Amino acid sequence: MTAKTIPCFYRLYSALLLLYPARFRVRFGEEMQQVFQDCCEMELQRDSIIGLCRVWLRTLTDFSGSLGREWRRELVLIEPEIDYTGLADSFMVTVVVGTILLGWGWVAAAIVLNITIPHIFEYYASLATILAVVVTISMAALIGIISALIVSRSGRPERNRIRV
Amino acid sequence: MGTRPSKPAPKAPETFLPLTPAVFHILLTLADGDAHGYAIMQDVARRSAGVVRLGPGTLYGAIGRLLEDMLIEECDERPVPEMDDTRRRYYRLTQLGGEVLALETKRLESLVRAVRACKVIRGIKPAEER
Repeated sequence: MTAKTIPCFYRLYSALLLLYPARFRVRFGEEMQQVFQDCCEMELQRDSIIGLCRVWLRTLTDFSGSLGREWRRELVLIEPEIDYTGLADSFMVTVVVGTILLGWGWVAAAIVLNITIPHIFEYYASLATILAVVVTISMAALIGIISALIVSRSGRPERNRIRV
Repeated sequence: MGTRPSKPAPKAPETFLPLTPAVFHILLTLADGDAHGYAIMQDVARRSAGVVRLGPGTLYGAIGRLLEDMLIEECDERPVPEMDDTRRRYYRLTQLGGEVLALETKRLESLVRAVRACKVIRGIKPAEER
């Protein structure tokens, strides 16, 4: 094991730590790096390549398990710093406004085309199609509004920690 | 943006039971004295004869939850500051942590007692003794 390889290991582990949620990484990242470094140094003192591989294997196994746990905790079990209700509201509003603008824009374009180019309506859209579009837009808007109302009234999940 | 509430009041010790083996071993290690992450990791592996091996992610995940639940706390003093890496933080058991550890030990004792009292189990030897 060369002197250059070991700092590479540390850098690789530091890069892996970036995958943890920011809150966890900021609080424990440096300590985790220190612990990993200590484990590697212990094996280096023993001059054991197999030991070093075992440290990596154990660390990666632990990493894959704890990564999911920490993200789950961050997103579900503790009050997130992101206001998901507000985010959902904004999303719904965007969907509703977007649908209305797109839909009515399409209807307006069809009407303008019909006025400027006579008989084009027969080829591109019939009255029934326009009616279907209007109904679809209205339904989408209605669903959006109802969803936004439900989301804004449901509140956030209970603060409930997993067992330590 | 949501605001984070102030520190919640500590819960009753019995609400933490049963403890996971990792958490039990961490508390047990800290019952012996203040320790940093690596020392805890080494001690847990030694104490459990290698059965419980904590990786950094699991160790600090558990430490994070124990800190939130006020079962352990970070301590400012370092045994040998000049010999120590500044990235290392030391942790100590709180009174609540000690109570939880004592309660869990009692719970495990009663479990072992119940198992020993069972006639069928008394006749069965562990595989390594056979």
